Amino acid sequence: MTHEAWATVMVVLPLLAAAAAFLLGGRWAAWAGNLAAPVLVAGAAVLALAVGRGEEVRHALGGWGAPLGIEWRLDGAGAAMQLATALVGWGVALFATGYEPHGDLERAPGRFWPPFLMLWAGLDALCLSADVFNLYVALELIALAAIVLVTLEGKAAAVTAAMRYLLVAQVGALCYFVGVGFLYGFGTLDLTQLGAAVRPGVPATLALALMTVGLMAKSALVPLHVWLPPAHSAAPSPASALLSGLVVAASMLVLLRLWAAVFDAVAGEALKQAIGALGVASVLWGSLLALRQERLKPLLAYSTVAQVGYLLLLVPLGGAAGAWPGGFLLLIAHALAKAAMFLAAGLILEALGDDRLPSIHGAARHMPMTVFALGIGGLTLMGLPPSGGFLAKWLLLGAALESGQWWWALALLAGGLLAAGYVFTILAHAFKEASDAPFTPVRPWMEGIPLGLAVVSLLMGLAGAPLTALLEAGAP
Amino acid sequence: MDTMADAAPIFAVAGALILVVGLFGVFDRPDLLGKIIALNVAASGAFTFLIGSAPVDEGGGPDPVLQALVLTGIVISISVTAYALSLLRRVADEAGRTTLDDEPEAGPEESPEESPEESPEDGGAEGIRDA
Amino acid sequence: MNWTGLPPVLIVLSSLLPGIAIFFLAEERTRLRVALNLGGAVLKMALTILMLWGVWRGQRFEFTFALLPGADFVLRIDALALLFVTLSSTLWLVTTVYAIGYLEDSPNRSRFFGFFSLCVTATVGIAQAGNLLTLFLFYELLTLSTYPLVVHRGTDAALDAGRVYLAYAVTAGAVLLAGIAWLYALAGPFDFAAEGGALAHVEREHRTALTAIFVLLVGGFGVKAALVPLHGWLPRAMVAPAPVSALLHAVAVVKAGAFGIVRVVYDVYGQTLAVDLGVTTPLAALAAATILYGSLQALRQDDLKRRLAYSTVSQLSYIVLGTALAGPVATIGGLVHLVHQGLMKITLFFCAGNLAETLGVHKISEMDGAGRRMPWTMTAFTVAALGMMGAPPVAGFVSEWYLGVGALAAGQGWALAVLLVSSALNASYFLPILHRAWFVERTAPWPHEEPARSGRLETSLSLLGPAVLTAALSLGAGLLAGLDGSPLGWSRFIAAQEFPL
Repeated sequence: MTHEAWATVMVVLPLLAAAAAFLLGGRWAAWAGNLAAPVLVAGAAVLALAVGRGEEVRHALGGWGAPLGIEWRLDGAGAAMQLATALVGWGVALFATGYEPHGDLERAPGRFWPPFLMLWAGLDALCLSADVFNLYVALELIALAAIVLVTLEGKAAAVTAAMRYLLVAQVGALCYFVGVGFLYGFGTLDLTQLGAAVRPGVPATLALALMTVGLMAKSALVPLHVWLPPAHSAAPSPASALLSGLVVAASMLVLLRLWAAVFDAVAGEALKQAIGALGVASVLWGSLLALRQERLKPLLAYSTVAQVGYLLLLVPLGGAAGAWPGGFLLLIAHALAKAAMFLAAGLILEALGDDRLPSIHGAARHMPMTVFALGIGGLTLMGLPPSGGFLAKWLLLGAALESGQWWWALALLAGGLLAAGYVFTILAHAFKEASDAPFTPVRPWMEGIPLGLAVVSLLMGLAGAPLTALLEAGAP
Repeated sequence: MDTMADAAPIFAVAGALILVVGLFGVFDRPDLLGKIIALNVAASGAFTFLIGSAPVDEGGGPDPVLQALVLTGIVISISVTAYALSLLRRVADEAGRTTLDDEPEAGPEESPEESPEESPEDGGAEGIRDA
Repeated sequence: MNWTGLPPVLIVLSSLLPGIAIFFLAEERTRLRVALNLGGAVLKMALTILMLWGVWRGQRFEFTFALLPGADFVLRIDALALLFVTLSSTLWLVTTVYAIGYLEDSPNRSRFFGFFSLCVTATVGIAQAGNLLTLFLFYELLTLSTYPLVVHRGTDAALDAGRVYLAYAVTAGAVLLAGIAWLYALAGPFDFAAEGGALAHVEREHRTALTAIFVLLVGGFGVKAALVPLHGWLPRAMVAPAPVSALLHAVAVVKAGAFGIVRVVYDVYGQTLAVDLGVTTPLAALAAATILYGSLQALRQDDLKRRLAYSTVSQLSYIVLGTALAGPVATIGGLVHLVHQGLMKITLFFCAGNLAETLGVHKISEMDGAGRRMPWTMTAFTVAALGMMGAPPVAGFVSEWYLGVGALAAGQGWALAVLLVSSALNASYFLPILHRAWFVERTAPWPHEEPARSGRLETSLSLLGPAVLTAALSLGAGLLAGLDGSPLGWSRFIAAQEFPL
């Protein structure tokens, strides 16, 4: 199959599968997802290999190219994100199949699949999009699917969190939309063409402000993070894995692409430093709040706020060598690790009936594989070797020091220490011996899924050279 | 056609104003229905603003690309509104209220994950949540 | 890749793969677990012996893998690496036998032995690391794999000790990473090189930066090496099972810290640059302070394992002192003490574990008459304790002799005085133990005698054997120090490369 055909499959197949899951309903819906998932993993791998080899993957829908038509173009960052999406998506599909009759999904048999597959289609479309309006449509598709996923658990906390998420996401989207209008004043919507056409001035500055704020709200960066922890902890665990791992990363991907292609040339140094400072605020504040949590899922959700903060450092670090691949390495390593940890949290919920930290005492004895998954995923959050998170941190540290902005290096190190604080809080509780905690055994193959995802995030640490080569493809 | 081009700045200014009013409503209205309507008002303002500030071609005609964008935006806005309204029903059914306020039934065991954001030092985005 | 890249990787894998396999073993598959453990340990020993022969003949073994553009993962076997590899493979084999006996019938053994193997993997990785980045990688892996061992029992005390250990070790890791990243930004990627070749190209105007980086690196390694005031975690980690203490104190953790400092001084900065920057004298002073402080604290402890822990704090700094004195003879003393201290201290901890496991004795005040009840254990203990005091012909004497002569040769007579005072302090906290054990009559019953452990021998063979073996090795290393193949002979071989005459 040609690359164009694969690119089409990546978006159309999950949409078809979503429709099938919706029509079939009930237990059959799982089949639609599980049949589509391996194909999508294969497609993402084929495309990533092609991009990594330096081949152009582009596809003008209906034969109309930019600026009038819609053109899909896959850069290294998009290909890597698509691959991470596929791996997390496959893991979640397998997991949800076994998890559906239990835990926090039992109130909605079959209803998980249509929004999940819609989300997958939206994420793939976002990775392939090369113009600012296409990105907007993909973002909206992702947001709607994500909101539906939050509501699945069905209780008051979940629907309220979903409502708050919807309002924030829509205000953010509106800001972004108006920004698109301003950018169109430069005569094109294509990211690359915009980079050449954009001139500093009031329209560019307004676009920058509106789009940055809108995307920061969607990515839950401090101080616009308040909606995320309730939404991500109220969602069923497989959905939390998608939300924390991928959805937040998607709007970050758009933000970073925009800055790299368009805004970097428009913004002043002080503004870039200020945005970097907001990132640091996210890292520190998110981590501190994670440390204060008494339940596993909210802890993981606050950790997402912290991890996303690191990515804003790409704005001030700009063109420094290593910053771009480092940032995206962090993005995909975090996606895999955080998804693994949320799935593990789901298993703990199922086995122990509760995710309050004192309730997970003895988990290391009852379900060692799941605690392992939490620990290995935690390595990436802490940025400790040999995980993918470590390589990312190493690259970002190098970029900060070599561009003379050593203060970001301090923030990276401090964030790692705080992450160690909350990761080991979880592990210490899990290692503590409990005398007679009620324990429902979980199926071993389901324990293998979070462990598998966590191990992939770990092994990324050994694939640093090919991954950076991939991420550098089409990088600014 | 000239009238259209002449009126454009008025549309742009009016649209911007409506957008600001709508956004203010999203933050200010306590009830969810009000917030959803305000969101629609804001969206309409954004669309009007974009049409009004669009570049005009030689013949004085409107720009087709921007028209397409706004049309897409309207479609998305309608579907989001429809979904938001149905979600509002779920909130009313499950939580027994039509605001985002969690106070009535939030005991310490019921929703501890909500507690950190209630702390006063956790600033920002509080507009979305009602005071 | 030619075959010379293979042995370093195999040495790492020989404990990594069995370790991973052990994690997945069901708890009751004792035989298979023992087979995997011992198989890995014996294989590692065999590979090590092969490497010793190769390196002695001048062969170099190196494995390189690009982690990132400009950041290589390098495993290299040189003489210094082999000194540490040999120590840790030998002691791992012994400790594995001991741990199998010690943990008979206790829960979570698969998890324990899995992390145990990972811990040794990290240690041989540290030993063979060919540059700072690789060293850091394994250094962090060591922290991560020892944490579950420290908290193994899952009690509140264990978890507290684990938390303190982590707080020190993770912070140290961050400090170390800062230093390494800074050095890479300043000097570009570089590998370890003898005689300070690594930083030769760095401009002299970066002196302040180089000094600051030295402080960061030594601070990072100093936590594991338990340099005062970074030693607080070590005595608290005593709640861990005895094989873990042996691991922490002799095989892996503290050794990794000391080894890191040795690498930084010799193979990153080089002693010429280090002396030129004026960083060696403060380091030597810090080491001397640690030696005295550790001994003084040891005197005050009644808990046997705590006394041994403070003794480790003190003895470890002999290695650092030898390094910081920056002369050929002192270097030999420091390096050889890396091995000698390991042999003697592991013996002491095995013996302490035997006493606790067989008789329930944890405190020195409970040791009256222990020599009669457990003569083999206490003989081993006595040999090692005498070595710690520096009494000939046990190995400890050899290290202290070289350190003392090295101090004089480097024109730092005060260091000799420190060593003499420390020996006296060692004597004053070990001799009372020996006195109680051998010469005081037992009047009270033992605190908690374990019937399952007493048979034909004074305790289980798997507990007694390792202790006696390591005591014999400590004695042998002292008696046969003149041979080329002894730890001393090998240290001279290393020093000859660092200080070509």
